[in-house]
Formats: sequence, structure tokens, C-alpha cells
Amino acid sequence: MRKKGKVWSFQMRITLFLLIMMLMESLLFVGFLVWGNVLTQFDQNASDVFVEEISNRAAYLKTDMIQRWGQLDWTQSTVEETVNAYLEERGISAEELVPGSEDTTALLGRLAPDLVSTLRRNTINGVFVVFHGNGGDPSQPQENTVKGGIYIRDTDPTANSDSNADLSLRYGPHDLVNQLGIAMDINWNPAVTVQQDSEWYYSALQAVARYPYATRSQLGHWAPMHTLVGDQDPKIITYTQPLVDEAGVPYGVLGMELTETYLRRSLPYSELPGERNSSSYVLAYSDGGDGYQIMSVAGPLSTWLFGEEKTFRLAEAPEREPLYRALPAEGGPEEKVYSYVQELQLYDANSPFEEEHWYLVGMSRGEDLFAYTAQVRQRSIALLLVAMASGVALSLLVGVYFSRPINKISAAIRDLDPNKPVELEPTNIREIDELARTITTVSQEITESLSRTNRIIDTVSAPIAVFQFNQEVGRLSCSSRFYSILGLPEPDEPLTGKEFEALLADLGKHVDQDMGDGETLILRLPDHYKPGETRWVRFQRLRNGNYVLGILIDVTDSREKLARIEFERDHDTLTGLSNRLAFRKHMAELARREDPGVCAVLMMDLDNLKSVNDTYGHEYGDEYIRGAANVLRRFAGDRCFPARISGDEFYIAFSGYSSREEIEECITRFRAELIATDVRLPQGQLRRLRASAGVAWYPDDTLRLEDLVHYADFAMYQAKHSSKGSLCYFDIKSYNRDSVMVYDNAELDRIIETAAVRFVFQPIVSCRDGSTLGYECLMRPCSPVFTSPEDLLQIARIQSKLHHIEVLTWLEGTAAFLALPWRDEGARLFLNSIPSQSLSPEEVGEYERRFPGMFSQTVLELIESDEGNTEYTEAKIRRGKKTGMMIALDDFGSGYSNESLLLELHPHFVKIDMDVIRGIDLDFDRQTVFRGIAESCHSMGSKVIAEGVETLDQLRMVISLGADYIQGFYIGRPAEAPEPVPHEICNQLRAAWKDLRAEEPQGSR
Amino acid sequence: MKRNLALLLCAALVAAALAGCAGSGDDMPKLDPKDPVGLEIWHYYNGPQKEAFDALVSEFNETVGQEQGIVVEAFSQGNVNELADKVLDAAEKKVGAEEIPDIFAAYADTAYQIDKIGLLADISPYLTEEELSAYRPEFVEEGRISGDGTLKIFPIAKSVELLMVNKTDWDKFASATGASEEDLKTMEGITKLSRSYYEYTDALTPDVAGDGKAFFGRDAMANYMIIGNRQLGVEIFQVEGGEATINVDEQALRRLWDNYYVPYIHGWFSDEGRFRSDAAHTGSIIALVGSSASVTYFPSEVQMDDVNTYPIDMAVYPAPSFADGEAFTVQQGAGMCVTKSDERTEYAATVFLKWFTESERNAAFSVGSGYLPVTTAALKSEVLDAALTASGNNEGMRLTFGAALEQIDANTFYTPAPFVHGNDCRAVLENSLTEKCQADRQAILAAVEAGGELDEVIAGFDTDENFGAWVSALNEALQNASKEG
Repeated sequence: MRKKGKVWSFQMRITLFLLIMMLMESLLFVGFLVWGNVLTQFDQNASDVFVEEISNRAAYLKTDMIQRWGQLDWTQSTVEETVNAYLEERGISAEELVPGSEDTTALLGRLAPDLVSTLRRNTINGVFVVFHGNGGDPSQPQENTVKGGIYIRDTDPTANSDSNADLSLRYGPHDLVNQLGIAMDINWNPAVTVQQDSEWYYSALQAVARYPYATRSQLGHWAPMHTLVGDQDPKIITYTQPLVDEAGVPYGVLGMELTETYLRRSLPYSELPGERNSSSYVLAYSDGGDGYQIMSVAGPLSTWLFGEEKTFRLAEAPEREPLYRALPAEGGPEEKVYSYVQELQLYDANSPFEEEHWYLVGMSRGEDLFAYTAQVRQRSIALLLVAMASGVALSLLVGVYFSRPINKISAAIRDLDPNKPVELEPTNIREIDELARTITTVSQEITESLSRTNRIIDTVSAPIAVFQFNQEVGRLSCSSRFYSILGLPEPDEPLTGKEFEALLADLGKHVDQDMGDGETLILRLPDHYKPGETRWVRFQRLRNGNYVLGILIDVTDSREKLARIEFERDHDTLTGLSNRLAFRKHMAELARREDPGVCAVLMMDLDNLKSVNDTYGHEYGDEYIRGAANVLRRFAGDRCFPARISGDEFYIAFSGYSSREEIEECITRFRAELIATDVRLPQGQLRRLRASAGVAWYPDDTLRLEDLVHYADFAMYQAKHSSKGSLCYFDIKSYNRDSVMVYDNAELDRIIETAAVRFVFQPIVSCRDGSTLGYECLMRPCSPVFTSPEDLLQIARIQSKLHHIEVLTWLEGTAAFLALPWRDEGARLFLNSIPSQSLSPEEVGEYERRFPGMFSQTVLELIESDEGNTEYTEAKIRRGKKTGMMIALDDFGSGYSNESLLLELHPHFVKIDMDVIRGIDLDFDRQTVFRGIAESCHSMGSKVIAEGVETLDQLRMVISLGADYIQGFYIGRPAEAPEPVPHEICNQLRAAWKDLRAEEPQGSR
Repeated sequence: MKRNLALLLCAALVAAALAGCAGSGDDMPKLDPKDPVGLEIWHYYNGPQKEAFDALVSEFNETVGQEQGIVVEAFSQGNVNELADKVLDAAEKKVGAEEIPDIFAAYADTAYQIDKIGLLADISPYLTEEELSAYRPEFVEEGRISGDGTLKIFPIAKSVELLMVNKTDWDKFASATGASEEDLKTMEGITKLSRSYYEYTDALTPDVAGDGKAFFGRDAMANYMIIGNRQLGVEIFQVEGGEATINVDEQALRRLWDNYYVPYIHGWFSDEGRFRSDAAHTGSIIALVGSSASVTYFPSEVQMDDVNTYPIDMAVYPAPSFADGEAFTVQQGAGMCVTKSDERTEYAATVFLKWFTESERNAAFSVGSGYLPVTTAALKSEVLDAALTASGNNEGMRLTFGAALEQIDANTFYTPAPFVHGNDCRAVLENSLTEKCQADRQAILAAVEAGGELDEVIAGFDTDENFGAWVSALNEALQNASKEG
């Protein structure tokens, strides 16, 4: 086997090649920046500029301090001369220049003008002369001494005034205040207060003795920041030179002051890198101790960094030499702040104060200082990113450009509709076009074979569709009914792979039934064509490699039938209540329950139905029944199950209650509602509903739920016989006593023994031509006690004498039939057999003896038994098959007979109950039910007999709906000797058949 | 696959580009403790006021400033006039002028001038209605100088004028002459007392005639002119829409004349020293009307000569007013203006100013400086008492606030609205009468020196003509000042 190399697309190859090229270029650029020392160089430049800026500023400041502000040489000599002259003139010594003395005041008055001009010339904040007087040895400073002197201040040296109005006298004799026109300072004192630690006074004075040969300016001392005694501000630094007499003995000082505020103006921190708020100049002082003392600060950075600290420290920053890192005060911000320190060198070497150092410290945040580098770095990265991004984009574009013709062809092939011939656009690249032609030829053949298959399927008219889905390329090919079967609109474009997969997933949500293998499903789908309706589709799937094959069959019709049948089986057509069958199932279900709770069955029989029927007709009788049913329906629920059993009989099963009282309460309510209900009769008459009812209790009356119905029947009979419209609870004692007595068994016995019954016959005619199919034989008791056959049957059932009735029916009924004076040739006898009864073999033998060959002329009418004794039914069917007897399923649609029986029996005839027929010409629901039953029957080969047809309209309707035979008052009433069907009616039948059925093919529609 | 990659990259690029534009979400600008905003404040506080101010600035820098990233540097620029000049120089970018600070203290007139140049920020966007309502409404109103709803001056402290008396010497005088404190309430009373004091002190040295001492002096003559007129029913500057009508009312001015010029040329009043507290220090006067902030300068001793002193007590009374005059009192004290810069700096400035004027802090500054607080909550004796107690119970301050609150209760604040050339007109008021007094007093002394009889010489000056001459000179000076500036 050949080794398979990694498969790369053409586009990928080109793209990758370009990407690698670009990556290498980018690396080169980064390398240039990083290893080419470019960024470092930027940093170095920034640092150099910073250093230079601070050095220059320091040089300026030094010049200002020494050459301008501290230049006192001229004043020095003037003052000394004036003092000498005065002392000589007055013949006193300098020791006598004490505060308060007139000499002191006078001398200071003479000195004042020169001092003021010095103040102006040097643009300083203050100037002073203080006499040591009799203060003793200056090297022994005394605490809190007062001295004669003058101290003039100017808060703003930059603003000169013609007068002395802008000056103030901090110290000086009172007399001078007015004499000089200089205002008193707020803290004015006539004499100068000097303290032991007043450096501004003592330092220079003391230096004279130690350095006798030094010049005055060499003895000059810059005193660090302080305030004068009694001042809170201004904070000042002072420069002091000693006043020395000709003998070299110091007798006072001359000095000047600079305020912190004024100094600050000489520190334009905004020249340092950074925004206005992120740099600082600090004038600092150190006398050799730890750290730097802050003298004056300009710019917020140092305040931010050091807070209210008066000293600060620097740390080496080897990576940023010659810069230092300024260390924040404890708790201060941990920001990188770089500083450069330039000493001012205010003192000569070997001068008295060479140990004291003044510095200018410039500070900027690293972020600002090296902002340019950071900016370059940032922009480079941004540039690189942009370059890379555009490079990638370009590579992709180029890749796409070169591979497009190939991709186009392959896409065209992938997206081919297999049902159509392939057309590939020429790419104008020879090799590729050659390939395309070959593909076209091959694909055409494939397409043809595929479409043949689909055409075959489409020609079959059955609702079937097939599809084939290629999972790999996501292509679907399907036969034409695919979408319509799914109830979906036909899409304009064929579904893409993704859409189809989504469709499959969606179908998965509608699975109604899985046939077991997971591949055959019944889907329940909304119908796109008929909104609100449902489609049933059988969906079968087959996987084959990458292909999914599928078959779809529309099974909506059969499903709908099934659903309808299920509903009809359990419901009464007239009232919509559950029918006898459903009630029986319900009771059976109750019996299976482990704990059915307190239960009861109420049997109710409507009073007066017969009189309503007789007086106003069946229509109003039905109304009367529906009225009762409506009340019952309102009580239907989980625990209450009402059902209509027959004509005017209803059952209500109560179950799952916790107490008998609850049920009683419910019954009371029910009865109250019932008797309050009016039924509308013709001419607007209202008729109150009245009913008799009996109730039997579980577990009070019996522990067998099966007995409940029976007991309820009994209770109801008791009720009916006591007075109409009453309610009786079952009482086992009276049952035991009265079940025999209440029903006149003597009368029953008499009827049975004397066959005191008569038979009436009702014709059943063919819809096609009016010919008589046969007669239904109906028994009527000849008794003053039992007026209706139902009563007779009821009692017979209670007395367990149904079998006798069955025998009576067979023997006497057949005899009566045969004795009819006239009957249609070939007409059959329709006999009603009691479901729970069957003739014994002996009786069958007797029957055959008496009426030989009669079985084949007899049609056995069966209803499903509410007793559930299907064994008798089965026996009858067996017998029917053996003897050629036909079978008719009676009362179909009434609840007694249902579809399962239909399927089981395959009867020859199905008699649709008169409940369905009544009013059918006006009632669409009944029409639907009838049509459904008729179709089902026809499809099984059974003929349909419509019972109880009373009008021509009903007749025409049932014919149009598929009735084959008709029975009813319209054709002929039951009679002991039925007349032939009138010609008129036969004609109507023929006409109806011709109008409504003739054009249609015989058989199921 | 490859196309997705390209899309992803493009999206990343766009996102990166957008990230630069994103940012400020809140109403207020964002401050960053790592990148602090530096605020430079210029004020005119000195001495105890400066000390009180600086202490609060330090507290701010160490607390809120540290947390939010604001560094405040405060600089005193001398007195209020020097400050105004410097700010104006800076605003007009004069050669040698410094850069205009972020915040500066200014009277409405100065603020008005700077605002005309367009350099003042509107503070109102940085203040909620609720925050504003904490301040005395009239103080806030004073800051609305543009008349367009904007707020240009942030009130931080106010002063009133009070009468400060050297109680030690007053008691001596009172017990000797029966002078009544009642007379300290009116201008006329002060004049009467001054004459009586002059005569009393003259009599102390029977051998020397005419060496009586002055009793009284006042610091702010402009205030005397403005509030005196107002009490007498005349608004000397009637301002409407930034333009002032000048009302020179002879009748009112005559009463001002009679209660300043006349006692002055007699030597009963004095304007010695830069401030009258200096004169009190040297014993030249024993009563003065000055700003409540100047209480801190009232001497605790009298300097008899270069060596000898004696201690004195201080008494503080509401400023005297004209008898039967309307109850108006001067309220002054610069507010703080914020200069236009960027939102962040302006916002930071308001953060500081709000912090500074929170009631208890405002009260603390007050008891340290003699200024009155500006919030309604702090302008209450309980709050001020608490602050006094907390600051160590300065007796002078206790007297001051007692008198100040009494005065506020009894009077309505009056401050003329700012107008074009208001500063110059105010300067005229400040100097006109003083200069007239000084010149005439000198002339009188010179005449007496030359052998004139004091009373006669004085009578030659105390005339209707002399008054009329001054009034017309004043009128002319005001008219000129209001036109040229």
C-alpha cells in the first residue's frame, strides 16, 4: 500500500507559504527593535535630557542664590561703615546697641534706607540687621534673648513700589514705624527675639572666631527652612553674614530671607517631563545626616509621594544611572518616580559650612519620563499587529484567488442537482477544464439512472415518497411527493444538507409511535395544506454508508378512521356521554383498582320520556334526554363517570371518594340541578326534567363492585315504583325480600308458560329498488303488567328467566313469521337474540324440527352484551356459520355494538342505530359518523342498514351517505301483518339512489 | 475554516481599535489614585488663617486626596488685592506672570473680570442640587455672577465686620467717665464715645494739652461707605446686568462724613498702622471695626514702648450701625473660583472644595480662622460650639462667633453685585475719605504747629464747602473709575 501523505489544499499551501514569509519579516522588525538597542537608546536620551534640565536649573538657582539674593558684600561694607561712624560719633561701643536704647533706634534709622535698597536690589523677601549688643560670647548662645535690630520684609519682591507701602516691619523700634513709613508686620515686635537654636543668627556669628581669616562671604551661612519666633509663617531660609569690627570681633549680623513661596517660583517644575501634575522640583538640604530635608517644593509629585514628611530618601536605580528612585513615605504610592540630584555647592571647600549641602532634586514619574519609549513600543506593537493582520488577510486573499477556479468547480459538482445534467462553467485553465468535461459526462449518466428511479415511484399513485440523502456532501434527492406527504410546502430551492438534517431532527419531535426497530416510525405532523389538521406518516429509514434512504407513506386516512372508531365506540351519539360499553370498561377498571375508595352507582331513569315522545315526537324526546345528559355532563370528572345506557337510562359511577357523605352531597346537588332544568317543548312550553334514581354503595352494600350496577337497578325500580321523581338507596333486606315480590313473577311465568306474547314485523327494504330484504321480528308482551318488552326483559333478567324469553323469541317469533298472511318472496326473518342467552343443542334440534331450513332464511340480530358473556355470542356465531344463518350487528353506533365486534363477527349486515339516524338530514356530525361507519362496513364487505328512518329527507341523506337498506316508520311501521311497501316509496328510493349513488362505483368510496 | 480565521483576526483588530475609544461611562470624570491630579490653589490667607487652611489641605492630601488621586498645593499670595492682581496678571498672561492656578480665592468683582476673559469654569455640573442646597442660598447666589445659571464662585468662608474693643482700657475709661456700652451700638454713639475718650485721655496728663488719644479706627473704608449708605437707604452701586448706576447721595454721605471725617480730623479716630489691630497693639486706639477674621490679630498686649507692655482683654460686639438705619450688615469673604481646564481637573477641584466645606470641617476652619462657615448646618451655634470645644476653646473665637451670630440674626446680609470696574470703584471708596482725612489732618497739625488754635483750625475744615468739595471729588473719581477702570 502506498503511504498516504498529508493532504493539503491548494489554497492552504499558498496561504501558508505567504504566512511564513510575513512572519519572518515581522521577526526581523522585532529583532531590530529589541536587539538593535533602539528602545534603550530612546530611554537613554530621555534620561539625558532629564539630567540636563535639572543641572541647568540647579546652575540658575545657584547663581540666583549666590550672585543675586545672597550678594550682600556691598551692603555689608556700607552697614559696617555706617555703624563704625555712628559708634565713633557717639563714642559708644557696639555692646551698647541694646534694644530700646535711643542709640540703637537712631542707628537703625540710618541703616534702614540702605537695607531697603538692598531688599529691592536683591529682590529678596526680607533683610535684617541684628546687633549682638551685650549678649556675651556668641559661642555660648543664650535662650530667648532680645536684641536691637531691624527686620524688614517684602512679601512680593518682584513687585516694586515707589513708597514703602509694600514693606512691613517685622522687628524694629516703634518710632521707626512712622519714620520709615513702613507698616508693622502682624507679629511686629520692637526688639528681635533670638533663641538658642536660631541658626540664622548664631551660625555666621560663631564662624568668625573659628575662621578668623575667612572673608565675610566665606563666613556667610544659609540657614535651612525655619520661621521666626512667634511666626507661623512665612517659612523662610535665610542667608546671614557676620558684622565684624575692625578688630575682627563680630557685633552683629546682616542677612536676608527668602520665603518658601518665593523660592518655589524659581523652580519651574513644568519644564520636567510629565504633565503639569506629575513632576516636582525639591530644594533639599542635608547636613550629612540621613536623607534629604525638604526646603521648598514645587510641583505636586513630591507632595503626592512624601505627603507631609519633611525629609525623603532616594535609592539607587542601577538600570537608570545616573538617576535615583525617590522612595515614597510610608503608606505613600508605590509608583516608580525617578529623580536626579544636583548639588548647588553654596560653600567653598574648607569654608566653615562645607559639611552642609544644598541640592536641587528633580523628579518625574518613570511613566512620564520614559513615555516616549513606551509610546514607540506601543506603536510598534500596534504596527506589527496591523501588519500581521493585513498579512494574514492578504495571504488568505491570494490563496483564495489562486484556488478559486478549482474550488468553484468542486463546489459546482458538490452542489449538483442529481436530477439534472451537469453544466460546469469553463475556468479558462486548460487542465481544469479537461477534468470538468470528464466529470460532466460521467455525471450525466448517473443523473439519468437516478431520475428513472424517482419517476417510477412518482408514477405509482399511492401516497408514497422516497428520498436519498448523502450525509457527506449534504445532498438530498427525493421523489416529487416528498414534501406533500410531510405536509410541507414545496421549497423553491432544493434543501441543503443542513436544512435537511434540521428537518429530520424536527420530524424526530413528532414521533407518535415507534414500530420497534427505531427505524420505522409513525409521525404525527401538522398539515401545512390544511391548517389545524393532522397528518400521519409512516417513516421508514435505511442507512447505507454515507447515505440515508427513506420511504414515507401517508397513513392519515387509516389513522383517522381508527381514531374515529375509538371515539364512537365509547360515546353515545345522541348525548355525547359515554355509552354502555365505556361504562362497563370503567366499572371493570374500577374493579381492578386496589383501593377504589368509597364508590356508588346511581341508576337513573327519566320519567315521562314516553309521554314526551308520544305527545311531541322523538325530536322533543331527544331534547328531553339531552337535557338530562347536559346536567350529567357537568358532573363528569375524575371521580364521577356518567354514561347513557339506553333510551332513558343513565348510570353514574362515583369512585375514589373518602366518605359516603361526599357522594351523597354530590347526588343531592345533581338531583337539585336536574329537577331545576327545563326542556323547551313546542310552542315555547317548558318541561321540567324528572327522573327516578337508585343508588347502591360500595363497600356498604356489597364488596363486589360487579354487583353495584345490579343493585342500583333494583334500587331504581324501587324508586320508580314508589313514586316518580324519587331516589332510593339500595337496601339489601328489601332486595332479599322484594326482588321476587316486586316483580310479578307470577305474571312472568304466565307469559312464558302461555307464550302470552305477540310478534310484530317491520320491513327492511333495499335502497336500490325498494325490494324487501326482510322483516325484523319484534316481541310484544300481552300483559296488563308489562307494557313494554324492555320491562319484560328487565324482570326476566332479574328473575333469571331470560333464557325462556330467548326460546320464546325463536320458536314463537319464527312461527309468527311463517304465519304471516303476506310477505315478500325471499324476505328474511331478522330475529333479536338476547346476548347472554343461547339455545341449547336440544332446543336447536327442536327448532330445526319445527322449521326445517329456516336457519338459512334467518338473520340473527346481535348486540354486544353488557354482561360481557361473549361465550353465548360466540356459540351463536358458530351455529350461524354451520347453518348458513346470517348475522346482523344491531344498534350500531348506540354503544351496544362496537367496532371490535364488527371486526370479530364480520357480520353480513350492520344496523345503524336510530340514535344516529334521527335528525341526520340536519346534523353534520351524525352524517360524518354515518359515513364513517358505512365506509368501514363496506370496506369489510358488510351491508349497511339504516334504522329508524322517519322522513324522506332522512332517507335521501342516509342513501347519499352509503346506506344499503332502510328500516323505519317512513318505510313501514312494525305490524302483525305488514303491508307491502308502497310504490311511491319504492319510486322515491329508486330516484334517490339514481340521484345520489348511481354515478358512483359500487363498493367503498 | 480559513475564512473564519480571517474574520476572527479582523474582529480582533476592530475590537482593539475600539478599545481605545471606550472609557468614561459615569457622569463624573474618573480619577485615578495612581495618576493624581495636581491642584494649585492661590489664596490670601496669612497667619492663623493660613495655618488653619494648610492643616486642612494636608488632611485632605493624606485622606481623600490619597484615595482618589488629588494633590492639593496651596499658596498664599499676600493679601486679597495682591492675589487679585496676580490672578489678573496670570489671566492676561503678562510677562513674568505665573501660570493661572487651578483654584483661586476671589471676590465677586475679581471673579467677574476673570470670567469676562472666559477663564472660569462652571462649577454647577459637578454639584448635585442636594449638595448645593446645603449652602446658604445667598452665598451660592453670589457665585452666579454670569447671570446665566452657571456657578462661578464656590463659597468656602465668609466674614462679617465686628467691633473689637480693648476691654481692659475700656473698663478703665468707662468706670472713670460712665461711658455706656449702649453707645457702642451706633455710629453716632462711637463718635460720641471717641470724643469723650479723647477728652478723658487728654485730661490724664493735665500738663500737656491736646495729647488726647484716638478711640476708634476701622479697617475697611469701602465697607463703611457701602453699608453706611445702604443703612441710610442708598445703594451706592446699583447694579443691573453687570452695569452699575452710581448713586452719590449728599444727605447720606453727610452722615458718613459727620461720623468719620469730623471725629478723624479732631483726632478722635485714627487710621494708624496697616491694620487697626496694629494701632490697638501700640495702644493708639482701643476700639476698631474689622473683619471677624482679624480677631486673630487683635493683640493680647499693648506695646507701650520698645520694651514695656501690659496685657489686655478683648471684647467683641456686633458692628455699630447708623441710628435709625435699616438693618443691613456687610458680608464678605472671597469664594473659590475654579479655572477652566479639563473635566478631570475641574472635577477634582470641586471634590476638594466640597470636602473643605463639609459642615464640621467648615466649622473647624471657622474656629481656626475667624471666618464664618458657609453651610446652613455649620452656621449654628451648637455646631460652632462643638468645633470650638474640639479646637481647645479659644476665648476670642467664642466671643467672635457669639457677636457674629447675634449680628447675622438681627440683620440682612448685603453685598453689592459685581460689575464692570467694580474693583476700581471699590478702590475709590476705600481711599477717597481716608485720603481726604489724612490730608486735612496733616494740614490741621501743620497749621497748629505754625501756631494756630486747634479748635479754630478744625472749624475751618469742618464746613459744608469742604464736604461739598469732597462729594464732588468722590463723584468724579467714581464716575471715572466706572468708565475707564
